[in-house]
Formats: sequence, C-alpha cells, structure tokens
Amino acid sequence: MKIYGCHLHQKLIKEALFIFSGWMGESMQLLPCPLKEAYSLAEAFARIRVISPEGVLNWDPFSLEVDFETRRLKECRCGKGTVYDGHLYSFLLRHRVEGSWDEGVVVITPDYLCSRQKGEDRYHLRYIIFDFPTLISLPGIIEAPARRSEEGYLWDLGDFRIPRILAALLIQTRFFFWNEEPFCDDPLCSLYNAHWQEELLVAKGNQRLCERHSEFLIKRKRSDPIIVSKKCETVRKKHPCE
Amino acid sequence: MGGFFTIISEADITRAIIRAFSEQLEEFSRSDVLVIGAGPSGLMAARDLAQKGKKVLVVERNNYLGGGFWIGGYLMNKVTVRHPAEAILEELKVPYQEVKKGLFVADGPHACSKLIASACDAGVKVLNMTEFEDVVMREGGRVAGAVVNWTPVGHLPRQITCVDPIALEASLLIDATGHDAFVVRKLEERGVLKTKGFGGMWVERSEDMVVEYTGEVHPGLIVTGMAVATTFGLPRMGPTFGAMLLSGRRAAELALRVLEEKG
Repeated sequence: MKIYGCHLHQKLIKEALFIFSGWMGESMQLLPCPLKEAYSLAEAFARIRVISPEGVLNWDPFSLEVDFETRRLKECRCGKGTVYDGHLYSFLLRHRVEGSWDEGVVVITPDYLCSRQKGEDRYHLRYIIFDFPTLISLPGIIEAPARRSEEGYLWDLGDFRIPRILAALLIQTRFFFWNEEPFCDDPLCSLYNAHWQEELLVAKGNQRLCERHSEFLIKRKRSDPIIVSKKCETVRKKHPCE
Repeated sequence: MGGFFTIISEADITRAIIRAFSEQLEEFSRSDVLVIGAGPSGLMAARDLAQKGKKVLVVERNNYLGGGFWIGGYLMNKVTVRHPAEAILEELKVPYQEVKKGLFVADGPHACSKLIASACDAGVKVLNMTEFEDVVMREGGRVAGAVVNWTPVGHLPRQITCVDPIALEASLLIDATGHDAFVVRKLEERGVLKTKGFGGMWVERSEDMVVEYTGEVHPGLIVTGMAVATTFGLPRMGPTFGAMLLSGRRAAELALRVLEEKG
C-alpha cells in the first residue's frame, strides 16, 4: 500500500506505519504529501469547502478564498479549520497520487473532512473517507467521533494512543482496498465503524481483529489472491469541479 | 463668590464643542482608512494603523465603543483569549491569568478600556452615535468611502427624521461590524458580491479561520472580525476574543500593504 503523509506529522505517521507493518507483515511506502504540488487546484479546493452542514458547498468562491487555498497548499498550512467534502477532496487528489486500486493508496491529511450519511443531506465530520485515494483526517480522529456533552476530547494528536488508532485505520484501509468492505459489526474488532470516542479507543486501540477478519487476513497472507475491485474501472473519470 | 472652576459662559462651552467637533469632522472627511465598527477587531485595526502614522476614523453606531469586548459571554465580564493572542493583552498592558495551557482570562472592562485608550492614544478619531448607511463607490466599483448618518435618525419616525446623510471618503474601508457585516451586505444588496452566512458555533476551528480569511474582499474594502465569518460562511465563534484581536491586526497589515501599493 502507498501512503502519502503530511510532512508536519511524519513522526506520528512513521510510528503508525511501524505498528501496521508489525501487525500485517506488509511494508508501506511513505511518500511526500501530494497537496504541496497541487496549488493549481486551489480554486477547486475552495469550491469543495463545506459552508454549512446542511450540504452547502462553496461553489462561487471569492478570490480571497482561492488565495487562501493557494497559501494553504504551497506553505503546508492545512488544518486551519476549513472543512471539505471528503469524496470531492479525494477526487481532486486522484491524479496527484501514484498507485492502483489493488495496491491501495492512502493520504493522511491535517485537513477537516466530511461526508454525507447515506440517505441524508447533512454533512458529518469524518476521520476516514474510503475512496481512491482513501483519506485519513488527523484532526478528524480527535473531533469527528461523538462525545458526551460533559466530556471534552479524550485525546489530542500528541496522545500515546494515536499511533495505534492511526495504524488501525490503515488496516481498515487495507481491507477496503482488498474487498471494499472495511467495516465489521464486532465492537472489539479494529474494523468496527466507531462513532463514539470510547468506541474508537476500544476498537482501534486494542490492535485486535475478530475471528472472521483474522481468518481472512491469514488466508490473504498465505495466498494473496488478486481481488479486482468493482470500482477500479470507474475511479479515473474526470469530475466537473476539477 | 468664586468657586474652584474658571467662570465660563454656557455659550463658550457650546462654541468649544461645536468648533472641536466640526474641525475634526472637516479634517476627517477624508481619511486614509475608515473603520466601520468599534468592536475589538475594528479598534485593533484602527490602533495599529494609527500607530503607523495613518489617518484613521472609526465610525460606531453606539454611544459606547468596544462592542462585545466588555463582556465575555452570558453577561459575565471576563474575557478569554487563546494563545498566541495573549501577546496583545501583554502589549496593551492588560493583566491576565493562564487558566489552562494556552487559555487566558482577563477582566472585560480592563481589557476593553485599555484597547480603546490605546487606539485613542495612537491618534484614532471616533464618530460615535453614527450609523453606516451606504458605501461611496468609484470607477471600477472600488469602495472609496462611507455614507453615514446620526444613529437616532434611523430609529425615529420618518416624518421627523428626514435628515440626509453625509459622505466620508477614505482610501480604504474596513468592515468591522461583526456578524451583521453591514458594509459587505450593502455590496451584496448592490449585486457586487455575495456573502455566505455563518454556520454553527465551533470555537476550535473558527478562530484560525477568521484570521486566515481576513482580507480585501472587494477593491477598497477589507473585512475583519466576525464580519469575516458572515462573508465567507465560517462557523460561529464562542465567547473568546483572540481571533478578533489578531484579525484586526491582520487587517491593519493588509491595509498598510494596499495603501503602499496605491502610493
């Protein structure tokens, strides 16, 4: 799997890669963040900023907003608070990353990302967007999971548990690229789709797969069959905002 | 019988008020920068510009200056800023305490009065009880000033307040009118630009963004403070003022650059 990581968070990403490789027996190629070279897409990024959770995108940006995006991309000033439509963000990066669907490509970004729940118009903040490339939002790990009103965030990016959580998200990404099914119903499995802070901590922090997924992994390691994704033929289509 | 004070007639007092006010109004009928709104971001921008020798006039619709900076939230008069904005409290010589790593609290009245005093000391002049009504526009749609009137005029029945406004010219206008973003909205009414409203409250994200998006939104018009959130559709901010102060500072820096480019 190829991984593109924000250079400001290299230590954290390398720690997560070390955990991932130890667990999966697969090494990953760490490549420089593709955003820095993507400043020609500044206007497109300005357009995919989410203005309101009710599904409103910024289709008509001011030149000031395009300038902000150019600055953000050129000067590595991501994560300043702007929130983007995750799938469109992934789409914009699609031609900026190397690698195939079967190989798997993931971009770790300090930007905030969101997507809509199936059948809902409303956007929700996400820590991971499964697409090509898959995106992992570092601030999303802190802020996207739901929390009880009386408690603040249970961790920040400096927390010792974050590399393990990030490694578990990489494993989920690995499963996504293998069979497009990154989720498990077992709350103790690292593939569990955690919505609450505590759930995320339990599922991702324990470095444990359920029986079914452990078996899948063993078989996969043994035979490594090529599973051609249904999506791989369609991902290269050009999007109107690009 | 003589008293402590010099004997002066009522007429002398009236003449002194009129003369001082009209001299100032005449002098500031054209300024380098006209700031609309005397909240923390407007005052901060005005102060920094005046300290750099610019001629700055602040227009404020209320009698009092400071906007929401007197009160921290829910009528409690403690104001908070997050790092690195405590440097500005330091600069203004406002006492503050660190209540949590990176979070600072100060007395609202102390912080606000120091900011007002500092702006006045720097040479900022103020037209309070004066409401912004419209923009003055020049060739190419460039904003070149503001049309203003007494605040009471707009709040009394039309038949007794049929008072025409006056226009003030400036090389640059700064919209520091908070969530209302009156100046930007006036341009929106004219179809010049379109604001995006603001989203739900989200302190962690909105402070950075307000500072990042502070800028010249239209030729001759810089937007600062919470007007930035309305213009660009950024989330609402909680009762914390760091971004207001730093956005004001950024507006001043940008204004200086624009004025320099204009020569």
